[in-house]
Amino acid sequence: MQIKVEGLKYTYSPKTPFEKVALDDISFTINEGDTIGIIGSTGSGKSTLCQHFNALIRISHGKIFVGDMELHSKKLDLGVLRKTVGMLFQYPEYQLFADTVKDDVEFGPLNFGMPKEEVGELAKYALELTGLDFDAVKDKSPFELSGGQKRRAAIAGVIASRPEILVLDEPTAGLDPQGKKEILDLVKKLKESYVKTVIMISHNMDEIAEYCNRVIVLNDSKLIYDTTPRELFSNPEKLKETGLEVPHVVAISSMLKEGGIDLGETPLTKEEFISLLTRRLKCEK
Amino acid sequence: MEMQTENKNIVIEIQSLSYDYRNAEGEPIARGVRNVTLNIAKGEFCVLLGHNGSGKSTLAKLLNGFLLPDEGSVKVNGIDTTDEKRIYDIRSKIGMVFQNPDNQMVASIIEDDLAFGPENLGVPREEIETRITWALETVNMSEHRHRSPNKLSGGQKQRIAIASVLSMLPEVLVLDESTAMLDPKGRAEVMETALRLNKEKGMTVILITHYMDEAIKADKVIVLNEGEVVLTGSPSEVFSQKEIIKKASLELPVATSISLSLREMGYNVDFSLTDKQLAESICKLK
Amino acid sequence: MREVSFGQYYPSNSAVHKMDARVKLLLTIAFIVMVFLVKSLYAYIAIGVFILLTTLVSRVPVLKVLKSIKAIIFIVVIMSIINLFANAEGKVLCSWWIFTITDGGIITAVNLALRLIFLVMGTSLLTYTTTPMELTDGMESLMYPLKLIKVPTHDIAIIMSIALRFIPILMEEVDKIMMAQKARGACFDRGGLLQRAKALLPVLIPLFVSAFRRADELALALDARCYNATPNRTKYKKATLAIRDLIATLITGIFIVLVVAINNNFWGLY
Repeated sequence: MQIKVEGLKYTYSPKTPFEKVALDDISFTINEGDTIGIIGSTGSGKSTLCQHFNALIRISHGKIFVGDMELHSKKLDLGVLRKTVGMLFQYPEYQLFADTVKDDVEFGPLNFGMPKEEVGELAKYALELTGLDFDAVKDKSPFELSGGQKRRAAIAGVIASRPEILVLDEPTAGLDPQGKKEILDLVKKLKESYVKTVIMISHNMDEIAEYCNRVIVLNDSKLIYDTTPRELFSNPEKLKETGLEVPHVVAISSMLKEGGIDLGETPLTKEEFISLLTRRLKCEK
Repeated sequence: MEMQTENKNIVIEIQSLSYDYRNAEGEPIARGVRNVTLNIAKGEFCVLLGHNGSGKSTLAKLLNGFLLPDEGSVKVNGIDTTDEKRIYDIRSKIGMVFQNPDNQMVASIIEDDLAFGPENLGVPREEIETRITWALETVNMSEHRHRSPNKLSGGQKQRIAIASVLSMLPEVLVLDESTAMLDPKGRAEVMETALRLNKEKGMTVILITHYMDEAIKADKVIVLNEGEVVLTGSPSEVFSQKEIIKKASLELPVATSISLSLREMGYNVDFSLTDKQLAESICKLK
Repeated sequence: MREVSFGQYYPSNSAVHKMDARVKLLLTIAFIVMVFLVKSLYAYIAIGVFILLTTLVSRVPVLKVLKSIKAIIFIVVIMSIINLFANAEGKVLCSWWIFTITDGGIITAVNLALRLIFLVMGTSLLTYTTTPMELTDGMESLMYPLKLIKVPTHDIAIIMSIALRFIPILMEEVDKIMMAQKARGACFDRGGLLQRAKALLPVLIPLFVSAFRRADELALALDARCYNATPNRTKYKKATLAIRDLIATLITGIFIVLVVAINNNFWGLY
């Protein structure tokens, strides 16, 4: 399912002294199968943009198509849209509310009117997909779980209704290195199941480089890049102008270039960097 | 050990400290820290590193008497944290900044928030005035003095939180995961402030974090795992212990990890902590 | 994201801002009592003019003060409607099924609506021009007699200050949680009253959990900054009465007399 954004504009508190343009004439397309990173400094409009994808913010100017649903249309069926586009907010563990983990995970599917007999299965599958032991956690209160488990349970609550498109707002915020890696690997695993498209907001360029096949950069409410991570990071100077960092391996390779060692290609992971470098050093000899 | 107690340069002295979290019946339910012995010297920039739940925040709470040891002792400037009468001497000497900037400000105007600590300590009014001016200058936030903290960025809020403990004139600044909720820009701001306080004002800093990029800037890194100190030393000493770092569920800094891999492959690059070190060392291979 | 206008300080250097918080508090209380005592339309007009003038002097944008009404508009409408039908005195204007509208009802409804609106405008003008810290210090100072009978006035003042600071934070949090649950298909505007109340549980529970978590962390932060370290706590901001406080009190006093006079038709205006 494709997402198409055309000329999207959004202003907070319009026509008041607090008026603030959050999105200014944004157009781009997300194809089925993409893992697309949305980056930009805080306040650049990333979250506002993503909240449009499942109509948590209604469109005031411009158009968005999700498959054949028109988000700018008044006749939009919100239930169908929100079931199709799952949205994981920042620190999602703070939305847990039900008596048991199972009830919490079933909340979404039940709201979307999925048949009761199926919902139990969906919850089980979702919880297991996130790496939690269904039998061990299902009857526990979500507030009894550890920090990492809570986040997994919250993710299960979003993916239980089998969204085709998954929007993640800084899914790794506040986690330690291992926790981060586990969540990102989980996202990868989800893409091998029913989630076809992933849209991920992140501040961590190493994550974007490693996990995304496309990237969109917002700056000051405007879309300034729509490209691949390799393209984007091959020009680190330009990116720095927008106040964003580059991945470590990109920083190292651009310093090497200044020192006379051109790797030829922009590396995105440590492994790529090492193989590019060793190939280059062998040529030298 | 006796020698160290007398050493005036030691601000915080921790002796075989153990602490468990207990339920209402007093039975241990979760491990906090186990058998930690540690000294922190005046003017040191010290990073406590560990995964979530490794005991690093528990250790911070033991430093200023929020928690009291089950076994062993914690002394700040020679005062034991179990000495109830002097607990506020300890707390005013250890300025503690927490994770969520919103949950540690009491006032809706920045200068009022900075005044809160010294007011509680009974500092005279004129003196509070001077301290506020100084503390805001130190964190580069003077122009916000009369504003509300609500509209500030995360990094700015944390700088205000730092200023709010600086106004108590602490000897040690403890940043308990104060960078964890910030974006890269905010993190850099807080890091820059902490480093500057350390280098220019000689402030002792204890930074609790799980960001390796922050740890490499420390004088001393202490790695905690399951409540125990598994490594102590300079960043290079600590990060050369690849296996222990991995066992503690942490990562090496990217440059370190690459430099170690290259060395294993037989390339003669230097052990590196920063991207720059690594790049320079590789360039020498040519 | 949302502008929470109730209880937000609007920084400025105006004469109203510089007034002593205790005086402002007392004058506001006098103002509220007056608003609830008067009944005549002319008196209301006078009050409206007074609020407008005070707002202009305080340099708080008039729009901001008007916006504060938005928060209570729902209550105003409901209360007015109830009063409209509940009061059956006076001439019957129209009648349908069990509903009867009389001119007495209209007058009561309008009276009530205006009172509530003036009440909120007056108090928000107070909170716009007084920092929460000044306000709570002012209250603490006015509560001084209670201290003599061992009421912890200082703790009460701190609690109020913190409450004021956390209102906008928690409002934003409600927004966030609502969005997150909406994304999971929750619906807050469907069904009967009971159903709607039930639909709010997924918002209220996380909100309470979060409020308690915040309170926990805040308690640590207070302790870390030596709260209650000494009974001889000092005060950074010392309030002193100035000429302007006297003038403001005089003006308000004269105004109150004026309104009471209008209300009692002293000059035979109507």
